[in-house]
Amino acid sequence: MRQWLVLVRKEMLELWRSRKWLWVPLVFLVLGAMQPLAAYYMPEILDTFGGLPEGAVIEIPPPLPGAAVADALNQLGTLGVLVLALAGMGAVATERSSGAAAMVLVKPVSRAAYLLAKWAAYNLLMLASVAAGLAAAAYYTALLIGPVAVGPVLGVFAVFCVWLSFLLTVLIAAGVVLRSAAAVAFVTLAVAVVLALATSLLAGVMAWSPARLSSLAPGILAGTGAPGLALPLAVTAAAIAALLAGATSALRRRPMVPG
Amino acid sequence: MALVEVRGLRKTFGPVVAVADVSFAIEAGRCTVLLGPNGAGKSTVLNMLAGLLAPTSGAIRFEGVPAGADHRHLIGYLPQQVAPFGWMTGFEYVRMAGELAGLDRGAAGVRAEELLALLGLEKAAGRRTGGYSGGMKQRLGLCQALVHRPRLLMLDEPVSGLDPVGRRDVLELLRRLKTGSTILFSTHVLPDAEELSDDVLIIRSGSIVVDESLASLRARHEQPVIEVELDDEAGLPAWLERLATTGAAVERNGAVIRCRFASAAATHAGAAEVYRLAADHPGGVRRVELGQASLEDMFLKAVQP
Ligand SMILES: Nc1ncnc2c1ncn2[C@@H]1O[C@H](COP(=O)(O)OP(=O)(O)OP(=O)(O)O)[C@@H](O)[C@H]1O
Ligand SMILES: [Mg+2]
Repeated sequence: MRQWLVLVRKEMLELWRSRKWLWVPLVFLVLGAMQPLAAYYMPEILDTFGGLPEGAVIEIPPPLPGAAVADALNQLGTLGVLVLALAGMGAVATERSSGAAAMVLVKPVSRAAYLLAKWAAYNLLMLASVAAGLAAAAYYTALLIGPVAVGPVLGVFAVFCVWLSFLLTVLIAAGVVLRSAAAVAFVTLAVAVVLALATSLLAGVMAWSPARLSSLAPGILAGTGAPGLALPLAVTAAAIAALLAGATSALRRRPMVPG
Repeated sequence: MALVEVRGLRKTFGPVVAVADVSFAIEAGRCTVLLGPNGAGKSTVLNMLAGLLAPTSGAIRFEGVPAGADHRHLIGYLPQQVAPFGWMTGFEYVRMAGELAGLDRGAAGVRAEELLALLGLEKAAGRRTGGYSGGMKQRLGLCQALVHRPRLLMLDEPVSGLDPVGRRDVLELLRRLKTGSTILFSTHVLPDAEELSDDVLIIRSGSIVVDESLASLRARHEQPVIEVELDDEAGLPAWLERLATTGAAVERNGAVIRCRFASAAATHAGAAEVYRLAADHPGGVRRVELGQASLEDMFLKAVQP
């Protein structure tokens, strides 16, 4: 536990010195703000660039507040995930191949503490980033489109973060198995895309899928509820625990020497 | 029981047998040198002892540690390649190593400052290690190995990459550490090995070929030798023929001529003659020395297949 705290502090310092604590939340913030802003200014944008014929009247109904926030969340789920994957792809792989990890693990530090420290640090970064993005989305939606209920936004924040936490776990676990940071990012993004696609195409058999945590968001925000949320939540939590346990035992068997 | 006992250690990487079958014991308080040609398996053995590589088979036991339990708190390890976190300062790095080894933050900080000063890094302690030179990283690696006063200090080529002053400093440090701690180090610098170690392990192609104390190794291989270093090689062939008549086995290595006699008594008898001939050498002589066969000779003999 003590060693874990020392390592968490080290990870936080690393995220700070590499400016990830700055640019990742900033990207999320911009992504979150962009959707409601774009929806609001769409008529003007079309007017300026569209070159519509004189007299044509286009009525674009403004989205409902809930839908605007859901759109923003969608952006966080795609571009946001990409940014997180790029930020964290080297967390384990780079340290392993440089030999820096070896110099931590010659101290009496458990492999679990080593991985869980990274997991915790990147989850904190993710929580802060999603909070920034969602807050920006809710703020501009409330300002420009219509009132946003706080309760559903908080609910969707919690559910969405569980999905991203699952992807971060994949990211950390892949770093144990793969030597190249780029491959780690690729695997993580592939898992996200394949799960999301399969979940939307095979809705019937994929009711348990972690990706449903993301696809249920519009319903939660619209106030129509999220039927069957418990199953994917439970499955995702179990998958996170299993991945972490598997990664820890894999790390125990991997050579920790550089190269 | 010895501080460390290694039995039947083996490590393969796919088809490559890095360590074939290694057994040895290290007594507490001894300084052991691990010698062997490049690729012999020295680093692989040390990495297994450090818990960074899982042995393919074999057992490593530390005194007072049950089989299968963690022994890492007992060791300080300087790997062959020191890779600190480039974004950390030297001080932060050593302090973190201390905290990971169980010291509290304050104590680790004090100890880090002390060690950084001891290894001549006090000026660089506040700078990021990404800007350190190779030798500075090596010193930093020594700091993190020493930070928790480990019972067994394992150093993989501790003086490689150091300048002559740094090498002196590190050897001096090891000499001081020898009293009170147990050291296992690998090196290619045989005079260092000879100067520091009590015991010698020589490994060749993954197997131990020599496991002996330096004293007994010396006693067994003790062979007096007279070295003559020439100034100029003028008239050398004729002179060498005269040298051979003293009964010595003459061996030439550049400007250094080595004369070996069959026994210590024969050496004493022959020495006078060699000295006289040396004075006679037309090209002049820089140095004549009566000494013992060095560890280098034993090493070369041991690793020759
Ligand atoms: N990760 C690895 N994968 C494959 N082969 C390896 C690996 N590590 C070491 N080897 C092989 O094992 C053998 C022993 O390597 P090791 O690094 O232990 O040698 P060494 O005695 O430390 O050599 P040096 O004096 O050059 O440091 C070498 O033949 C090397 O090629
Ligand atoms: Mg080596």
